[in-house]
Amino acid sequence: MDLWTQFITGDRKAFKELMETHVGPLFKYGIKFCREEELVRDTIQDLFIRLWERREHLSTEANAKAYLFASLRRMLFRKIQKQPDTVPYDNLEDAVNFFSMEISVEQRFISDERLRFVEQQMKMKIAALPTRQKEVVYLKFFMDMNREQISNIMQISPQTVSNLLQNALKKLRTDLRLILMNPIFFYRKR
Amino acid sequence: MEDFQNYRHYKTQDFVWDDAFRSWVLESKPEDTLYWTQFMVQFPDKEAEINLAKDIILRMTVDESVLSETQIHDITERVMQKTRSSAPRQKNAFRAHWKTSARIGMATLAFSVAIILLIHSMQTRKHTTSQLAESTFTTKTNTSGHPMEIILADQSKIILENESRIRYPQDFAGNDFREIHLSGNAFFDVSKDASRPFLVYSNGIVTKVLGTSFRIHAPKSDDERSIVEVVSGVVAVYPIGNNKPQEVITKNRVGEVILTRNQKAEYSKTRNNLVTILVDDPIPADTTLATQQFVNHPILDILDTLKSDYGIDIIHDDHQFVNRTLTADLSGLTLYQKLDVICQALNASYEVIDGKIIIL
Repeated sequence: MDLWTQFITGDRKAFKELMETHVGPLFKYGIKFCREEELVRDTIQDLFIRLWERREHLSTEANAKAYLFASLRRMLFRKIQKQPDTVPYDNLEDAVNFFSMEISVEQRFISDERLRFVEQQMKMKIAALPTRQKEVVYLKFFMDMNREQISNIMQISPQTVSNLLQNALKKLRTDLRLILMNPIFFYRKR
Repeated sequence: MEDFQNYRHYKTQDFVWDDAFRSWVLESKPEDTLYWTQFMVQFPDKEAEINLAKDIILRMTVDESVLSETQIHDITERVMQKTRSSAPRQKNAFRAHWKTSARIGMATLAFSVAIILLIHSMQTRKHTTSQLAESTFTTKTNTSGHPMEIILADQSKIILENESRIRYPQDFAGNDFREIHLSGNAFFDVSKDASRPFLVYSNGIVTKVLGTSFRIHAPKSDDERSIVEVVSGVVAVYPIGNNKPQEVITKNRVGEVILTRNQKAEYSKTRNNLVTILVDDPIPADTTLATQQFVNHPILDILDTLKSDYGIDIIHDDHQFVNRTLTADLSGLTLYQKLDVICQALNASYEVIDGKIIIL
């Protein structure tokens, strides 16, 4: 029996373990939509309280990670939209600032100036992707989700996930190609 | 899997965002490592791009605020307290929302569940088989005074030297790996079976291979060095250190060393490190040159031939040697003797570093 199923049958230990596994990633994801850390933490707390109360109605077949991400996303959106000056996510499809993510190449241990260069450039390029493309890239490459999980979380069809991903990757590859065309890469270092 | 055509024209940027490539870099399953190593052996010109792509992937992170362990603990504790005595309650809003999403992803959800169950059952199976295999292990100790030949269930051949001991399962069916434990010295000629990597555990290291021949010297004392020598094919060697053996080859592959023909790895258990060097007397494959007697022959050409004959990387400065020629008879000489002659002609010297020859 997996953790999710154990939790549904009322196992407190499994419930705790489920939280310990997912709270960290959920926070990372949530903070992309909203910069108020406290709001995200509170929402995660509410999410798990309701999860426990509602456990008898949950399906053992559900994918735990996708279910939790989808729930947090929905709850967070509802809270954010209650605040003044916010626009619904769907109207922001091509805006760049809502899902804020910057990918960088780790500074630590980099003695190679070429990688430092890639790092600076990539940061700019990824930040410039449209919101939904960024979210798909993040879920796929940094949260290790598959197409079906992403489709559940973002409430879009699997085909739309593929399209968003394809467009994002096309752009990311072109960007990286341009970065790598810098003369810095033409002499090889050992 | 063996089809390399798709990747032949890949550049760094394509590798960085390729699913299969990323999963090798990040998870390094044994079969992926073999695949990509063989790819690099076949397309050596891709090595630089692949290494850069690897560096980029490994260092790519998202700048993000994260919760500390204490914060995670706090949230968990608070939820545990608040839910302590609460019986399950109805709350329709929560359910209705999930229903919509469930409808959208109904077919797909079934799919991901199937995958999870599959992985789960595979893990369970692995567990039971290793317990089962435990009882059907054969242990052979060779005290006969001369080498002993052992044929395994998969037709792999092992020559077990005197004063050496080996433990292997009588049957590999149902196992994900072919796992052998060695203490002492042995030569392996492994049958090809891509779906079931062949693993040899010996005094602190694990050697992983699909099908090839190699030699292992695993001393009984920790002060002596273990040696893995490759006769043909490609093998990967990992220091086990304090890790679990299975994790070393599937997850962290820290200290991994890939060996090809004529290379060997030396392992020091006290320091838990592996060093790649060349075998004492490298053996050439069938040479591509008609003769070993050269008259005013371009030296770069001779070096290229040595590289491919011995399967050893020879690093040198092309520009420096571009117009240099050699007049000499190299027939019957060992690789090192040949290098001596060439270096004398070039007024250069060579060093063996990290399993490669560097001409300075």
